[in-house]
Amino acid sequence: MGARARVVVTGVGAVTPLGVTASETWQRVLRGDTAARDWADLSAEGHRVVRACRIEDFDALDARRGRALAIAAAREALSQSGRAETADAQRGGVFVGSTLGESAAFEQAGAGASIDLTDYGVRSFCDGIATELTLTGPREAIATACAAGNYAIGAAVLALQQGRAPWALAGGVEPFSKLAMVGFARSRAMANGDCRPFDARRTGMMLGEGSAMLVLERLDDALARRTTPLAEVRGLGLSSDAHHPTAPRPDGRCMRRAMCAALAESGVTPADVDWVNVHGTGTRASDAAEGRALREVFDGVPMPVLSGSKGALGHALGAASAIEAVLGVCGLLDQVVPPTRGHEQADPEIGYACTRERTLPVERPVRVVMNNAFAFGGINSTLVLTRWEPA
Amino acid sequence: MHNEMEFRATIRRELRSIRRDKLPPDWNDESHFRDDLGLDSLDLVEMVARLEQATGIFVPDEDVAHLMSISATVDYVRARQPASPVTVRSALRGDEASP
Amino acid sequence: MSSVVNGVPTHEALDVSGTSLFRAALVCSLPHRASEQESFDAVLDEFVPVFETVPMVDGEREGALLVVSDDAGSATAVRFWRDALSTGLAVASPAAFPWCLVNAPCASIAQRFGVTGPNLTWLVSFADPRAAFDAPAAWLADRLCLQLDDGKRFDAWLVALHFGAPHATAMLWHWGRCGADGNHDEALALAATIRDIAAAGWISATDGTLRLASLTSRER
Repeated sequence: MGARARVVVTGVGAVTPLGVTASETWQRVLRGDTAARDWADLSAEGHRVVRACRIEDFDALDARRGRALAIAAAREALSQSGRAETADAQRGGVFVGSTLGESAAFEQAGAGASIDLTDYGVRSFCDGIATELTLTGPREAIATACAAGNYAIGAAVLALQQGRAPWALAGGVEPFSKLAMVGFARSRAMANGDCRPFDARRTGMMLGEGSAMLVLERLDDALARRTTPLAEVRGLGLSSDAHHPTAPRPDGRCMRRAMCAALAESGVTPADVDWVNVHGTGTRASDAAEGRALREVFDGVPMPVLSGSKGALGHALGAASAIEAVLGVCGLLDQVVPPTRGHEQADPEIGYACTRERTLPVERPVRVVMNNAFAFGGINSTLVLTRWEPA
Repeated sequence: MHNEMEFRATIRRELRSIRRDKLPPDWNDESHFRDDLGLDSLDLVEMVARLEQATGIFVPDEDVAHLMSISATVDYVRARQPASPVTVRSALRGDEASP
Repeated sequence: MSSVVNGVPTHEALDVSGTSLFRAALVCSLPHRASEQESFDAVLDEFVPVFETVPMVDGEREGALLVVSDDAGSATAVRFWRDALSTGLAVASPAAFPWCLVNAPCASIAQRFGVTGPNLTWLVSFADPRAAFDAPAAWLADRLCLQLDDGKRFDAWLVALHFGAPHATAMLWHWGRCGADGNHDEALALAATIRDIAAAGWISATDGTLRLASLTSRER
């Protein structure tokens, strides 16, 4: 078998409730900030749960908010990468994950507006980026819910390895969804207060929104144009619980498989992992299952540093794992693991604590980060990113 | 609580419409929704939603776990609607109502 | 080996490196029901023959599930919100929420048939059927060619779904392979072949010329 081409990240961009750029988001997550607050408009509309993380002062039509978020993040990533100045700039591919697409459009349709919804799903994010940046490469609209960001990055990596595109933008987008606010609230999945990943007193999730995009290209191409990679994408592991439409397998068995598959594809062992960015939605069931899976994956070796960002940013559904991949890249560059906002007291049932403050590496550099994302319907994904170190 | 029998019948009807194929022909008021009747978390939050729609009572998240049988549900509603007749409006839409 | 389903154009088996690759296909009309979920649940039993050739081990089938749809979840999302506005958001019914997501059918199939391998859903446009199957074909070809240990079988099911009128349709293909080496060049050629087979099948299944009810026989 031929060796697969190595794929690296050369640009990142993000728009989140803690910043309109990846850098601003990263600095505020590092500081331990949270964007969580109560929202008067949700209260006025009769929502039961009014606490969420939303992007303030972002100007866009409600029904095109997602596309605008996608384009903003893509622009930032592209600018950082320098890819727009290259000869094959226009042949870039676009790979975007999302859960609900332009949720506001579906809400408007539900309220009686006459809208052709075929132009408001996640495909419209790919098309929007491609049109705005004049890109003609392959496009994929990935609809794997809360794991979609990881999946989109994996799809882009595959396209690059198969030579279907010279470079790619990959990530996730999720504009704020009132539909999801109601859906999760009425499913009794929301926190009573804030999201507390892996905390003993956690009570549920908190909804967020946002977008994150990464520029990916083959290592050889990045080096040929004298661009220093920000990080390397080493592998993606996937599995399915096949258990229940919403609840995860309590034993975390298939979450473990996704993590192990990612490690195997990446050529790293559990002992090599320095940092796990947990999915950590703050629900009793999901965090417990993820904790069990981690215990099994890292059986016999020290548990890596664990952190999660959903207490800071909320759960941005299809964008979450892409935002968290960007945070992973930032952490690898700055050699620091961010605090887990909302995590104060480790759950003895899980048996592991998350970071409560900025955590610097002690015995060795932070080289390998695992990014977990586990979606509704038992869709499990783990992405492995590694520090870029010239040979 | 007035109309309690009607209320118990309403709960049975709503549960049947949520899980048409999975419930026994009948069950007693003490049967545990999860352990005896095999309802799952999705079924239970839907049942509680219809209860709220039917009675006008808000059930906080932390109380959902208490509504695990018809008797427990009736007791819960009675405690929150003591002096007035149970306001019962079936959450079933006309086309879904089963005999 | 060739696979035949009522009315679906037959395809000669793809014989790659001495192993059979294309195993079966099935088309169903999705009956009109009150919800997408009920419509889909009504045909799940039809899928049984296309899954049962892969035995379960400890209650699982370790294959991959790939779904493309242009509208899964769309009608449910609209209805969910309409009903929520009607009851009031504070007391809205949650039951339909999971099916507001495009990947609900994929999760449903996985649960019904115990498929625990990779589970992917793409939102596509069937206006260009070949383009609609590009992504899953590329993913599938990569795995079929490159992810095999000696003698280890790999199975995958590819599903195409359209819920809207006039021809609500579900189509299912089973691809499988065991124990062969491959390379990138072969993967790309194979991806094109898978894409073309799927696109041709989908066009025939949805252009109104084929009306199918259920699978009655399938050659193995």
